[in-house]
Amino acid sequence: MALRLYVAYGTASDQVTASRLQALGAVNGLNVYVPPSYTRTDTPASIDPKSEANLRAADVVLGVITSAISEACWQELNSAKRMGRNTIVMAEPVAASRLEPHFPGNVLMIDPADPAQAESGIVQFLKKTELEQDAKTALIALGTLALGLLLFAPQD
Amino acid sequence: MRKPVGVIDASCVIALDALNLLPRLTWLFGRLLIPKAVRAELYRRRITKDRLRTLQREYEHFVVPCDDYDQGAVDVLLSGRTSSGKKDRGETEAVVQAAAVGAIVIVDDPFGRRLAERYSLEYHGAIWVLERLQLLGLLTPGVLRHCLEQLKYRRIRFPVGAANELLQRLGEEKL
Repeated sequence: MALRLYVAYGTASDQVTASRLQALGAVNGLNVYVPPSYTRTDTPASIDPKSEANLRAADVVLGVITSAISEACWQELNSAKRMGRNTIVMAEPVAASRLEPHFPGNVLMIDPADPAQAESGIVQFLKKTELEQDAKTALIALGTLALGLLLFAPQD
Repeated sequence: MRKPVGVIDASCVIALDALNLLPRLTWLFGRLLIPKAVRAELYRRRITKDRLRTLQREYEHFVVPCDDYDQGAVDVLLSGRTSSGKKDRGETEAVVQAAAVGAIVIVDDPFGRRLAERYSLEYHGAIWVLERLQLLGLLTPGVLRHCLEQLKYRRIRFPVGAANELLQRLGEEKL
C-alpha cells in the first residue's frame, strides 16, 4: 500500500509549495493530502472533519511553514501529535523557534545559508521512525524537494 | 448543510449534457467548476462549445469556469506522460483544482480517477451522478436505463461495467 503523507502548511501563502509537493509525491507513488484553501482563510474552532480523517489515515505528517502559522495549521500539528503520527515540521527560523517548544526534536529549521543542516535533519528524523526502507527513501526525496521549494519560494 | 463543490472533466460533461442532465447537478452540488483545459477540450467541437456557453449563461452562478489552481503542480503531474502535454491535462487540472478548494471530482477517465485517489479526494463518475439522481427521485430506474441506452447508441464514452452493475442493483436488465 502507498505511503500516506499529510502536508500541514502554515498559511495560504504556503499553499503553492504544498500543492507542488503533493504533485511530486503523487508522481512518485505516494498518497499525499493537502488541506483545501478554505481551511486557511477561516478561523476554525476545531479541525476540519476531512482534514482530521486524513490525519488519522496518514503515516507521516509534514509541516511546511515559512513566515506564519495559521490556527488550522496549529490544530493539525497538535492533532497529529495527539494521534501519535510521525511528524516533521520544516520551518523558517522565526516560525521554527515558535514551534520547537511544542514539537521538541521534530522541527527542522531551514537556514538558507546552510540548507545541508535541514537535509541531514530529515535523515536523522527518518532514522527514528518505523517505516519501510522504500518509504524512508521516498520521504528523503520529498523532504529534499520541500526544502528546495521553501528555499526558492517567493518572499512577500 | 452546504452542498459540496464539484469539479468536472470533459467526458462527464459530454455524457451528462447529451442526456440534458447537467442542470440537475444543482441538486448535488453548490457549484460546478470547469477547469481551463476541460473548457479547451469542449471548445474543440462547435456543438459542445455552444452548449457550454449556453449553460454558463443560463446557470452563471452554478457552472463556473475556474483557473485559480497551480499550473506548476499540473505540469509536474503531466511530466513524462505525453510529449504535447495535452492528453490528460483536463483530468489533471480537475484534480488539482479540486484539491485546492476541497471539491469532489467528477471524472470517468481511469488516469484521473487514479490521480484523485493519490490526492485522497472524493471522486465519482457519470454513473454515480445518475444513481444519485435516481435516489433523489429525479430519474426512475427505467428512465435511467433509457439514458444509458442513449449514451451507448450515440457512442458516447461511459463506463459500461459500472453502468451494468447499477442496472442490476436497480433490478433492470443489463445493456
